[in-house]
This record gives sequence, structure tokens and C-alpha cells, in this order.
Amino acid sequence: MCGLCGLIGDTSCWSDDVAAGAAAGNRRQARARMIRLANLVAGPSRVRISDWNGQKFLVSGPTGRKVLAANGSALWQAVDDVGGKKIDPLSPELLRLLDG
Amino acid sequence: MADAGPIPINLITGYLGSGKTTLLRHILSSADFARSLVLINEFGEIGLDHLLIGNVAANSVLFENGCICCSIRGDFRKAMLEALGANAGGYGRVFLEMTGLADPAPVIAAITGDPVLRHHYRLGNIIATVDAVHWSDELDKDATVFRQIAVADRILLTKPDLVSEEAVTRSIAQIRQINPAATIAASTMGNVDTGILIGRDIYSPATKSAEAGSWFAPDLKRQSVGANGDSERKRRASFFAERVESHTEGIQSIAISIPDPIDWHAFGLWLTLMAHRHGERILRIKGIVRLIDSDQPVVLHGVQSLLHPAEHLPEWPAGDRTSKIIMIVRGLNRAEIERSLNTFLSLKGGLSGADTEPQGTLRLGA
Repeated sequence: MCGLCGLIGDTSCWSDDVAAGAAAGNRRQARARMIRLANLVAGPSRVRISDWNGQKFLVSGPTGRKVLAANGSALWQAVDDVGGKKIDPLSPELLRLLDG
Repeated sequence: MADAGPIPINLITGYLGSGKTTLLRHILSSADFARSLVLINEFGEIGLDHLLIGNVAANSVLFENGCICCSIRGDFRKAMLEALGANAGGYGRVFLEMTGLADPAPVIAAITGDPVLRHHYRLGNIIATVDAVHWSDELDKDATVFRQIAVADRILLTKPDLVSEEAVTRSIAQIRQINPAATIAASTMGNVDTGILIGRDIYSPATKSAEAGSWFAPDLKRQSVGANGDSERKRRASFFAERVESHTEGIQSIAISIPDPIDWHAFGLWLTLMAHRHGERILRIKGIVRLIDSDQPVVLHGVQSLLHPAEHLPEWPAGDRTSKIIMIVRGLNRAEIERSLNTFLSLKGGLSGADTEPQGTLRLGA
């Protein structure tokens, strides 16, 4: 656990190692890019995702509710929770917005 | 002392009476597996299989009157931890024979998701036994058989001597429709080369390249669905679907071929979200993908919502360098998956967002 920020638990995700390598070893850059893409998908639910200490994701909902997600796998549960609706990657409505 | 590294665990699944115990007895009779720990899960008042195994395995544990995938998962964890403490002599491998009704996915999660177990154990191949005589009847009655075939890395068709050669050939073809990436063999009385079943797996650093290369050996040369030939389309993912006729579930295997390199972030986002929302309907996924900024292929594999950490292989297996993915899904629509993946791979800030791309990222070729 980090004594400064209290980080504890498993913050790894199945795609992390490859993501870090894909950005020429720059984990922060890879993370920023992943968050940018995730915000495109979460945007229609009026949910905003931002980085928290390079370790977790801060997920902010339309009502001001904020939740920390430990990793990419937990991120979408948090987006569902604060956004009040379940994001479906197969939803024609979502895909139309993303194609836009 | 045990070999360095985590101890491999092989799950043996298969419907009731399909020959799991016979196969296990055959494997354990080999001197190579004399140092194995055997875990047997039986769903009934009185367990019998461990008595059959007892003659060939000194170290066997019986979990009875409950299914290891649900009611007695805690017992399984306890046994695995106790085995570590008692492992001064060094178990080389663990075999877990599951009940005929068990779903392997929760057990895999119990191993790979446990903060202690995952550092001491690793998965080996999931082996499914399929009864050549009865399997198609069972398929119609119980979706468990489908799931067992779908998640397996090795499938052994048992009792082939009790049916005609044509029936064996037909069964193997049908099984391959359900799970195109698995290695399939037929044998009588469990008498099969253990090297085929256990000698190589995707979880071992030494053998993962060869294993991943075998997934797509029968190339994806089926009739393309929906491709229209224009240049933009060629760049996108092509999908091929094998629908498996069944009265029980709408299971199909979907083979995805993506000619151009892909953006890992966009793909990872898509697959994570798919696993989150539809994990229960993705029975199995295996793939090798080519990234826009790496010469090394990335291998990925998962069972239901459980995705194993993706990693680079040192080099491409023989053959072309096209990204290939096989998904075995239940109740999902191929066209919807195709539409979704292509949209995610084209997200701005992903493949085409030049103003937001980090330096060093290669662009797609013309």
C-alpha cells in the first residue's frame, strides 16, 4: 500500500502490459489514450472518466457522484453505476453516436 | 523440490459417463505424472471415482456431495493451499476431475483471481472428454456439453470403437464447428498420447508460441459474410460464422480476420466492455493480433468474462500476419459484433485521431 495515497488492492488489468508496450514503454501516455477513448464511449451516458494518481480511474456521473475504479475491468461497472444505465457495446444507438 | 514456477493445473471436464476417470487413470499410469496431485469432485452421496484412481495416484483428494464450481469452491481453495504446505516433496502437476455437470469458468476464476493461489499455480490445458456414442443426444438435452466443449483446449472423443468410422469423422467435424481452436483426438479407454493433451499449453512461457500457432491451423477460408470489396471495407474486420445446430442454445463460433494492424487501446476497450456486458455469453475467445506499433504479435485468450493477461509473443507463428480471433458465443448476433468492433476500431483518437495520438504511433498503411 502506498503510504501517501492509500492505494491498495489489485490495479492490474488484462490489457495493461500490452498497452504499456504499445506506447513505446510510456505507461502514462498509454493510459491517457485509453482514458480518451473510454470517454468517447462513456460520454453519451454523461459520465466523465479521469486519471487518479496514475493508478485508478475517477468516474464522475451527471449527478456529481464520483467513484474510483481500480482497473480497466472495474471501470465499466463504475460507469454503469454512476451513469445510471448499462453501456452496451452492441447497442445500435451507441454505435451511431460513436460513428458520428 | 518442485520445478521452478507455478504448478500447472489441468482441468478435466466432460459429461457424466464420458470417460474422465478412465482418461485420468491412463495419464496417471505414466511415470511422468507420478508426482501429481489429483483432485476429484463428485456430485452424489457416495464418491466412487477416487477409489478407481486410488490405485494409480497416491495423492488424491475427494470433494463430494457438491459442485466445485459453486457450493464447495471454498473447499477447493483450502485444499489447494494445504497442498502447498504439504508440497515439500513437490507436486509437479495438479489434475482436477470435475463433476459431469460442472461449469469450468468459476473454477478458472477461483485459481487466477485468488491473490495467493495465482502465484503458486497456473492453468494448464482444459481437457474435455466427449462420448462418441451419446454426445449428440446429450447436446440436445443439456447445454452443459456445449459449454464443456466450448471452453476446452483439448477434446478427446471417447469410445470411438463403439461407433462407425463415419460417425467418428462426423462427430469430430461437429465438435470442430463448436470449437475450431481446440485440438481434437479420438481414443479408446483413455489410451492417448499424453503429450497431445498436456505437453504444450498457452500458459507456459516455453510453449505458448507453438500453442497459439496451432489455434488457427485450419485457416479461416470459409465464405465471407458481408464483405463488399471496397478499400475501406477491406481494412475492416471480416467475419465468418459457423452456426452450430442445436435445440438447446444458439451457440456459434465466430472467426474474425482483420488484415490491417489494429490499435490496441481501441481493441482492448472493446473487448473489456464486451466481457463486462456480455461475458456470460462469450464462452471462449482466442486470438493473435497484429498491432500498429509492434512487430510482435499479441496473444489473447479468455473464458467468459475472465480475460487472461494479454502478452506479446516473441515472433509470429508460421503463416500470414493477419489478426485472427475466434469467439465462441451464445445468443449473440454475429452482425452486431462485427458492427461494434469495426466502430470501436475506427474511434477518433484511436486509429485516425492524428492530433491526439502519442508520438511514435504508426499510421495505417494505404
